[in-house]
Amino acid sequence: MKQGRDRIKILLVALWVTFTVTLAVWWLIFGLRQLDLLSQFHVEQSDQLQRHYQMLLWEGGILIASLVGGGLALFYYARREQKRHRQVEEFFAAFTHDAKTALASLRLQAESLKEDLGANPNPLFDRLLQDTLRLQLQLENSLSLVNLPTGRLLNEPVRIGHIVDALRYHWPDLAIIQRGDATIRGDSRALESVLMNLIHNAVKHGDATEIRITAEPRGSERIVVSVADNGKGFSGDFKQLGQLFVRHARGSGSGVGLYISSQLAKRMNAMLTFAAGPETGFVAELDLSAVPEAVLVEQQAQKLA
Amino acid sequence: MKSILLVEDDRSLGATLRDRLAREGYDVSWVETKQRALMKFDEGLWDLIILDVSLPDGSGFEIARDVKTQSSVPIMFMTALGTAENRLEGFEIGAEEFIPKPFHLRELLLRVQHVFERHPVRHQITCNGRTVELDSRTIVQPDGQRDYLPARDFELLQLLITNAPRAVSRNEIIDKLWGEDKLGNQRTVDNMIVHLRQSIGDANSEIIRSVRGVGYQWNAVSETPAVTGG
Repeated sequence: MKQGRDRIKILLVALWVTFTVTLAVWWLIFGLRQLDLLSQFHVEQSDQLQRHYQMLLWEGGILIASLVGGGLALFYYARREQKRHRQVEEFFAAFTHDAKTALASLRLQAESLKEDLGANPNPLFDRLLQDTLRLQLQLENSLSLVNLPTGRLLNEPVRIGHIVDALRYHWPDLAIIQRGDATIRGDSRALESVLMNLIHNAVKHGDATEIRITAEPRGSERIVVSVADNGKGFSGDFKQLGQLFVRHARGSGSGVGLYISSQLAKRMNAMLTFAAGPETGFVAELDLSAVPEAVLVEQQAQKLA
Repeated sequence: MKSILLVEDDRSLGATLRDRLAREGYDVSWVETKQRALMKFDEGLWDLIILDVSLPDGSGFEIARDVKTQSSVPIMFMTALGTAENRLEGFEIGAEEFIPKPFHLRELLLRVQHVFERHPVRHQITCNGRTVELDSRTIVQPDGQRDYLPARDFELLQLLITNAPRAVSRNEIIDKLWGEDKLGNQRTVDNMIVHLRQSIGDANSEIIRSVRGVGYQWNAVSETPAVTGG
């Protein structure tokens, strides 16, 4: 797909150069022929017309040479930019692979050690595991920020309950309570990333100990997933939340988590809104497209068949 | 015991995964490259293949495509590159699971367990009143007598079972069983098939079918519920 786009860009450059050079050559030939005709009818001015002929020939030649040179330079720089872009992409892919693989190894070793120590493991393991999660979130948010404009998302049926189950592995000591369940249409990784950022904020900035995730239908085509916590809540301007680099407090967070969450929600044809909890805490609502029940029944039947 | 082929190029992660899965009671073989993965796949009977997508000499997707042409063994991908294109490619190949790195130990173990629940391991196949035990490489006859098959015969039986319902050509059998030695020929293969049919009581050639112009096909449906080998 990307290679196809690159080829189209190069083809457009080639077309532009060919078109402008051909036009310039045609004009030059036309002009020279006109001068030839004039010199046949105005013999007395033939010296002057000959000078004009030479001038047109030189200037036209220089114009065509400039167009060819400019076109070649454009072609060269477009190719160089594409190559550089590919190198940057390869670097990011290698960096992501290495960083996430190292993080996976570190986490598995810490979890294995924790399990080996039995009922009373050293609390350092929990801190270590939380740090791997923090690092994972920072890494994924940074990569999401880079990939937001061009990265593709899947449009797949996603069961909210499955995502919540995956989130429980990240915060084993946090009470994550789910009420209701639904299947929405979106990208499972993007949805997990949105919910991870919301819970991370609730724990980090709100000191929440309990998260309630509720999935409720709104009409026949929408599902509202609300994430409410019992933390300290947010005392600032709610309208600013979700904007890039807006931080909860000076020196806290990077200011990209909620921005990425909002952008990912938009790309899933969803809307993310924030509000204060009824008594305390913070509530985020995600309005998503639902997968009609009839489609799910049909999919289930296909699986069984 | 359920056998898992683990393909992961990162030594630290590979070793940790191998040890942890082995502790859960799985028989794990760990390789680091695509080439070794394909060689290892040919050597054994696998119940699950866990593949890293990025490998030094190729990709896990290439291995999966190759494996899927020969066997219906379930495949799990684990990858740090969880882009939409990557996930789509993985599922198009027919992956059972796609686990993004970094994952949690319990999450991985649970997903492995789910795969085995969806694909019960068949280490023991009963057909025609006889039981083929793949782990002990024996055939238990209706009177309880155990027949120990010659190693090459058993490899052939295993090859047919693993590839079922696909028919395996004589040339492929020669390649897989004798490799570069090329000591086997088509007549040898036919003789081995006759011997196998006798061992499993397949007088009418219904279990090991001859497919004209192709080769041989394992056509038996286990008479008893699949028995896990763990």
